[in-house]
Formats: sequence, C-alpha cells, structure tokens
Amino acid sequence: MGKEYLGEFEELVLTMVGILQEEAYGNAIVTEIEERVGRRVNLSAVHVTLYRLEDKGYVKSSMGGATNSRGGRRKRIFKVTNAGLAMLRALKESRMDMWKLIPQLKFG
Amino acid sequence: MSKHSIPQFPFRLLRIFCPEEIIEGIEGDLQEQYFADEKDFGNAAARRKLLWNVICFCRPGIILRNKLKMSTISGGIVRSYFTISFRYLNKNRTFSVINILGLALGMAAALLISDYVSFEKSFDSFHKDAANIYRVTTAWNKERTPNDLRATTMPWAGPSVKESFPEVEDYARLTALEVFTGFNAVRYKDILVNEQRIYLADPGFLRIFNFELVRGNPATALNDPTSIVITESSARKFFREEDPIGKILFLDSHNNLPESNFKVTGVIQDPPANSHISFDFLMSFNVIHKDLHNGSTYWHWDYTYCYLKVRPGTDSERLGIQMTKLRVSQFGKEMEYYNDAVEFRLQPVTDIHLNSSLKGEISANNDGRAILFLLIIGCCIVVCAYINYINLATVKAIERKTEIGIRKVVGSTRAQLTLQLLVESFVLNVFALALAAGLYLVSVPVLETWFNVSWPSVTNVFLAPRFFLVAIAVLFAGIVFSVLYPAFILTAFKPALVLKGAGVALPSSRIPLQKILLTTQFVFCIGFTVATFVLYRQLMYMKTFDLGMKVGQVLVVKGYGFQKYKAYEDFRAQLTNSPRISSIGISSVAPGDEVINLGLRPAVSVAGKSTVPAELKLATIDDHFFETLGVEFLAGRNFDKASGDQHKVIINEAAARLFGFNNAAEILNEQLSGLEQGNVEIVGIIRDYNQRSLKSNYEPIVYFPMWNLDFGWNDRYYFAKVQGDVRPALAEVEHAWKKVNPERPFQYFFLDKYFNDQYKAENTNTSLFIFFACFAIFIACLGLFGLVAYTTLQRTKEIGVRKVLGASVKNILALLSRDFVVLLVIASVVAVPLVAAGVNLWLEQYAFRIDLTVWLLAVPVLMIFLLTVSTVIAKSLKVANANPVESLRYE
Repeated sequence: MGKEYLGEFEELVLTMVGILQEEAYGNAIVTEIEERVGRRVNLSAVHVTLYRLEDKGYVKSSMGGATNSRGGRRKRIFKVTNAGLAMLRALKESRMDMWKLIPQLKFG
Repeated sequence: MSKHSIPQFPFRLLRIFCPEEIIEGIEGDLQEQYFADEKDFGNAAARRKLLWNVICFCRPGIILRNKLKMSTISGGIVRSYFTISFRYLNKNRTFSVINILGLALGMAAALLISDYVSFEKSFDSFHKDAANIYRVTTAWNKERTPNDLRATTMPWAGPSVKESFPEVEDYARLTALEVFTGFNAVRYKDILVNEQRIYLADPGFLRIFNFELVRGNPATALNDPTSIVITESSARKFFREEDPIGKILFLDSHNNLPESNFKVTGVIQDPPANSHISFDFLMSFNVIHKDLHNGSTYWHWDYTYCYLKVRPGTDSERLGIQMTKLRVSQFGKEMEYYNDAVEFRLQPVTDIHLNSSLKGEISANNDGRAILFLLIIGCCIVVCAYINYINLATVKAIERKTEIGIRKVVGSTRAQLTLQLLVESFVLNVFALALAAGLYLVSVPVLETWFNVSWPSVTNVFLAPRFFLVAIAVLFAGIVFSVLYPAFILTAFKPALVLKGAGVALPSSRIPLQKILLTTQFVFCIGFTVATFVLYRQLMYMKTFDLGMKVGQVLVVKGYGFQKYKAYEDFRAQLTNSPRISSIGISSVAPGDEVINLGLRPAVSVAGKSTVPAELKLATIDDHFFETLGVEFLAGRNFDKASGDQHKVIINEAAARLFGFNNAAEILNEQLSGLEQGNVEIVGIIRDYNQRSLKSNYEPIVYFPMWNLDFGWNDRYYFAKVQGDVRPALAEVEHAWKKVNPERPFQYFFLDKYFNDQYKAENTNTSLFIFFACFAIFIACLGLFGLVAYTTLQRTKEIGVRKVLGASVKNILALLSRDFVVLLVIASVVAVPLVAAGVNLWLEQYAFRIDLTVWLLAVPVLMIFLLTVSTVIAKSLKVANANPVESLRYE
C-alpha cells in the first residue's frame, strides 16, 4: 500500500483521542472538537473515522463503562496505539521541520 | 420531560442497517447526544436531530463494516485470482475450449430464440393504448355452427356501440377494398400497380392506433369520401420526388363506390413489421354507400374489422355480452327471420398475432404454442449448457486437488477458495458471452437464408433494456449456480489426505445432485428427440399427402373484379391451340384460399332430407376447371357449356356427407332446394380435394357454372396447366392476357408455391423448432458423453479390483451400463408423457395428421438408450480389457 496517509479530519480525530485518553468515545470527541477547534461535526462522521483509524491500526477500541444517560449502554472507548502515536509524532515533526524553513520575523 | 420518553423509532431504524459489533457504542452516543440536545434546544429539536443523526449513520463506512472482509480479500488477491484463472484456462486449452464453446453455443442459441420470441410477442404492443384496444369478433349461430368464429364483424359494431356504451371511447373500422371492387389496381399517370393492400378506414383509425402521419392532418385526413392516405413507401413508388399531397390517384370502383378518383390527403409511416395490420393505402370509410355502413340499419354482412378503444378497466367480456344484447334489442325480429343469431366477443389487439386463428384474419398469424415451444427449447438449451459446465468444472476440480490442498494448508478459507472459483467462472462466462455475441451476429444472416425469415432487427433487441436485464441476470445466475457444486466438492477436501496423495472421490454415487443433473440431461435428450422425430414424420406425411388435385405445373393468372366472363373466353380462345398449355379453366377461388360461404344460411333439403348446412360454401367455375386441376369425378358429369346447365350444380364429397349421403352415387340427380339461387339439381360429385392447408378438413362446397352465376366482386383466377418448359408457356399466357386486357397488369403465380405458402409460418416454426431441438440434443449429448467418460474413468480402480477378484469383461460392462440404464428409465418415464402431451397439442391443429403410435415414441427413446449404452461400453471396454495391474496403478 506504500506510505500510509492520514487525512486532515483523521488527524484531528486521532489527536482528540490522544487528548481525551480514557474518555475518548464518539460523543466526547464531537464535544471536544467543537470546544477546541470550534467546528461542528456530525457524530456519524466521527464514528466512521474512528473505525477507519482502527482498520489502519492507529487506534484500538474496547467497551467501557455504562452511564444512566446512555440508557445503560456501554461506551466504545478508543485508545491511541503506538503506531498512532508514532504517526502523530511524525506528522508534527515534519510540520515543524517545514515550519523552520519558512523565513521568520517577516514584516510588511 | 421524562428521560424515558426518548423516541424508539430512530433506534429501530439504526438496527436495520448497523452491524451488530458496533451498534452498542453508537446507540449510547446517540442517546447521550439526544439528552444534551434536549437540554440545549428542547425536546422537538432533539428528536429531529436524533433522527438526522441516525440517517447520517446510514453510510458505507458503517453499513459495510465487517460485512466484507476487506483485510482478507483485498484487491491484490482478486487480481491474483484473475492471473491464476487466465493461466489455468491457458494451460488446459482443450478443456477451456470445450467449455467456452459449449457455453457460447448455448448462449447464442438462447439469444437467437429470445430475439425471435420477443419479436413475436411484441406484436401490436407499440400502440400507446394497446392494453385498451379490442377487436370485435363474431361468432355466428353458435348452436348450429360451433366453429364459425370470425375476425370480421358488421359495420354496426362501430358507431352504434360507441353511441350506446360510455366505456367505448373510440372505434375504427377497417375493410379491404377488395370486398367492394374485387382485385384492384391503382393508377397515377402512367404508373399502374396492381393489388395493393388497400383498406377503407374510419377517421378513428388514426386516433386509436399509433401509425404516425408524416404529412397531412390526422384529424381530417380520412374524413372526406374521396380522401386517400398512402404509406411512405407507396408515396415513393408513385410520386418519387414529387409532393404527394393533393395528387389524384385513380382506382376503378366499377360503380360499387361513388368515386373512382381519390385525392392524397396524408402520408403515413409504413406499418412496422410487428403490426398485425399492414397496408399500403387507407381510404375513407365514408366512401362506402351510407346504407352499407350505417350503424342503425339491420345489416348482417360481416365485411369489416372493427376495433374499439375502451376506457381503462373495462370488463371486455361483459361489454361483448352487452353488445350481443344490444343487437338483439335493436334487430331481434330480423335476426329471428334470417335465423342468424350472432355473438360478439372482444379480443385484445395484442392477442391477435399469437392467439387468434379465426376465419378471415387480416393477415396470417403465428401460433402462440409454437412460440411457447421455442421458448421452452431456449430455456432447456441454456440449462443443458450450464449442466455441462458444472459437470466439466466438477471433474476438473479433482485434478486441482493438489493446488487446493496447498492453498488450504497455506491458509485459504472456504470463502476465498469459492471466490477464486467465482472469478474463474466469471472469466470463462465472459469469454463465452463475448463468443456468443459473435456467433449470434454471424448466425443471424445464416438462419435468415436457411429458414427464409427475416430475423428481427439485431439493434432493436440489443437496445431493449429489458433484454439486457434478463441477459445480465442469466449470466450472473449462471456464474453463481455453476460454481456452487464444484465449490462444495473442492472446499470439502481434507488437505492432509489430498497432499498425501489419496484420491479424491467425487461423491457421485452418494450425492444425488449429479444423478439429478444426469437425469435432467436424459429427459431433455429423450424429450427433444421424440418431439423432433414426430414433427419430422408429420412434415413428411404432409409432403407426401395426396391432395386430391395436381398443383404442379399450374400457372394461375389473377383476374380482376367485374371482369366479364367474355374476357375469359377470349383469353381461353387465344391459348386453346397452344401445344404448351394442355388445359385452361377458371374459378372464383384458388386452392389455398378460403371459399366464401353461401350468402344466407338457410336450411336446405336434398331428396326431402332437410339439413342445416353448417358450412356450405360456394364457388363458381367453368367446365374445364376440374380437368385443369386433375380433380376426379366420383359420379355424374362435368358442366356442359353448350347446354348451359341452368340450375345445375356440382358438389363435393364433403357436401354429400353433410347432406347425409355416404355413397356419392345416391345423391346424383337429386334436387337441392333452399338455396338463395333457387332449386338446383346435382349433376356431379367430385372427390374431395384439399381446398386449404392440411390444417383444415374438407369443406362442403357447391360449384355453380360461372356463366350462370357471376358476382362482380368475386375473385377470378385463370388456371393453365403447362406442358413441359414453363418459361415459353408463361410468355405465351402473358401475351394472350395483354391482348385481351391491355389495360390491366399481368399478375400470376404458380399454384404449388401458392398452396404451400399457407404453411409458411408453420414451416418456419417447425424448422426452427427442429433446428434448435437438434441443437439442444447435441449439447445434451456432448455433456452426456463427457460424463459417461468421466464416471468410467473414476471407476478404473474398482474395475481393476473386480477383475482381480474374477469378474469377466461382460460382467463389468453390464455393471457399468446398469447405472445409466436405471437413470435412462427414470428419465423416459418423466419425458415421454410430457413430450407426448406437448406433441399432441401441436398435432391437434392439423385435420390431417399422423397417429401418435407407441413406436413413434419408442424408436427415439431406444435410439438414446442404444447411444448411451454404446458410449458406456466403448469408453469402458478399454479399461475392462486392460490388464488389472494397469488399472490398479491408476492415480
């Protein structure tokens, strides 16, 4: 398949999973994205992206605790895998590298 | 608001498409979101959002999750399957060629048949309102003449019926011009063309039917009595480049119509090939004398076809009954007087071509049963081809046991192996389909010349979406079903055993599927062989049947309406001394045509015995007619021109039988009374000859001398028996005709061809049936031989063991044949009654037919038996004769 590619939204969701840690499930990610980036996303889009990330091996999921507000249904908690973390790091680094190449302190 | 009021419907919706594995997390998230939304936006909005969210989840990423094992069956593997398939097909070329060719032949045959059948079934369906158009048919006096069902009806059935029943929206009557003027010719300046298909039609004709008017106004084109609408091809014939509108065409109506000059008011599309009505000219129905087409007068002459367009949802049967009642209420008294109770029936216009063979059909129809038989053959051919394919593929599967074993050991799942087979099957089927399309295109012109038919247009059929859907469905069903069985066998292998070198026994003797397939093949084989055999016998019977007349070497010249008898006599005088013409006669009807009924249907009596002549027909002839056709006299004498023979008639045997005289001589010189023509004396009785095809029985006919009784509108046929070479005789006859009738085109035909033309449609059907049946037999036999060869091979080892233990060659052959013979017997028991019933149905349409004797059924069955057993013996003889050491080493 060659080098794995991560889309912009996938990257965003993956980052959120990393931030939320134990509380990374569909709804929480939607709220988190809205709070941090100010972007309204649909629940289904987040779910599909999470599953895709799981297929690619960047996150893994397990069933977590149930709450009353969920009608007794358990959450599917996602966790970033080592591969996911490496991917995020690689993305960040390559971005930092490129950022350094842009001439700084440019006025006018 | 209670927390428990969360709507359930969106969740139920979700459960329909969402895979089980992930639904819990999604449902929880949705519910949480719902309560958050409820707090923020209120209940109604939250409900809306919930539903919207669920709908958003209906996306491939969710629905297909875990359905397709994307990880195991990826594009790479499938690509590899394709590569393997091509390599495999290439490696086993003989197998591939046989398999692809067999399938392709089957598919091509099915394509050809479906073409033909769908064309025949498409008749008249191109009319926009086809479902609501009915033809009025007439049943005359049912008690007396149970079979007198006519395609024509009285002109009354149009206007009066429309007036009385609101559900009848429109009517169109259509009458051949011939009815009024006899054969006619159309003239424009110096162009004179004889006998066009000219019809008189109501203006409604252009409204009901979708024959598009290219020029002229459809609302008025047929209104004026002198108007005439011509087809595009006729327009080209008469006017070439000129504008046809407003031109005057001349048709001599002999004062039977008020007009003889007609103005072209419209140009109409040529009727398509799948229309039961075809015409060259349409004239206005209004040209007919008012008394003859007025719906309000009693007029029992059923000279017209009548089509009704009814409101959708009308009960046509009820409408027919109501029409019958209406006629009784309007003309009850007159009907009783003439004793002609009629019943009307409405026949859907789309039924006419395949399901109607009434008297006086407008054009020769085809037989729906023949089309059905063809369709059955088509299906059988496809099934046979696929059975062969399954058998071959299964046999081949054994040879691949090592490959399969290794694949299994390496970790292939059953699903993957099946997918591999599917890919192979797909490749093979696509090849076969491509080849079939090629074969189809090549064979259409070949079949057209062989069977002398014009095969329905290729492009038409290929473009029909329905046809495509069916083809694709058949293809995919074929791919899937043909893989199921081999897949079952292959994937059931135990890899360890296979790799150790153990033989893989096909569960052929235990699994009944193979036996079922084999028996099905036998059933097809036996069924088609019997059918072909019987059909062939009937064709031969008809070919050699003694018609009671000699139709060879008879040249027939068509006269025209209102031609004087004198013209015939002059014509005759020109040719009497010719050495090339041995005899010349005239008749109002040519063998092969329907004889008209006696005008009224009175009771007649002969020698005091009164009979109701169901079908008494009338023909007018001269004193040379019977001699020219070689018809024998049973008793009495021929007409005598010199004495005039006033009030004398000749009848045929069938008429004598109708009057109750089985011995022809007894009726001689008796008086026949009650005819419209007055009392007449029977001076001669002729032996029955086949006036029409062998489908109809002998009809009772009364012959009058033409010089005494001559209806102007009757047809006239001049018969000349030719001696020796036809060509100089033809020239001589033409010369004589031109001399007597310089104004009229010379039109002729040969009687044998004319008579045999009656069988044109059936001959085509029958030869197509035989052709495709032979094809089916061929395909079925191909498969049978393959399977016989294979099963024998399978038992090589067993044969070796048996020989070692002391079985003789004879024993072994008997043993091997027994299995097949049992299946053959079962197949015969199934096939023979079925095919006997089918063939009987087909034979029933012939009045003169062969009897379905036991040996007719038994001979083909025995042939198949012999063929199978000899194949088994031929195939197993080698193994049975071989040294058992060889066969034990097998595998």
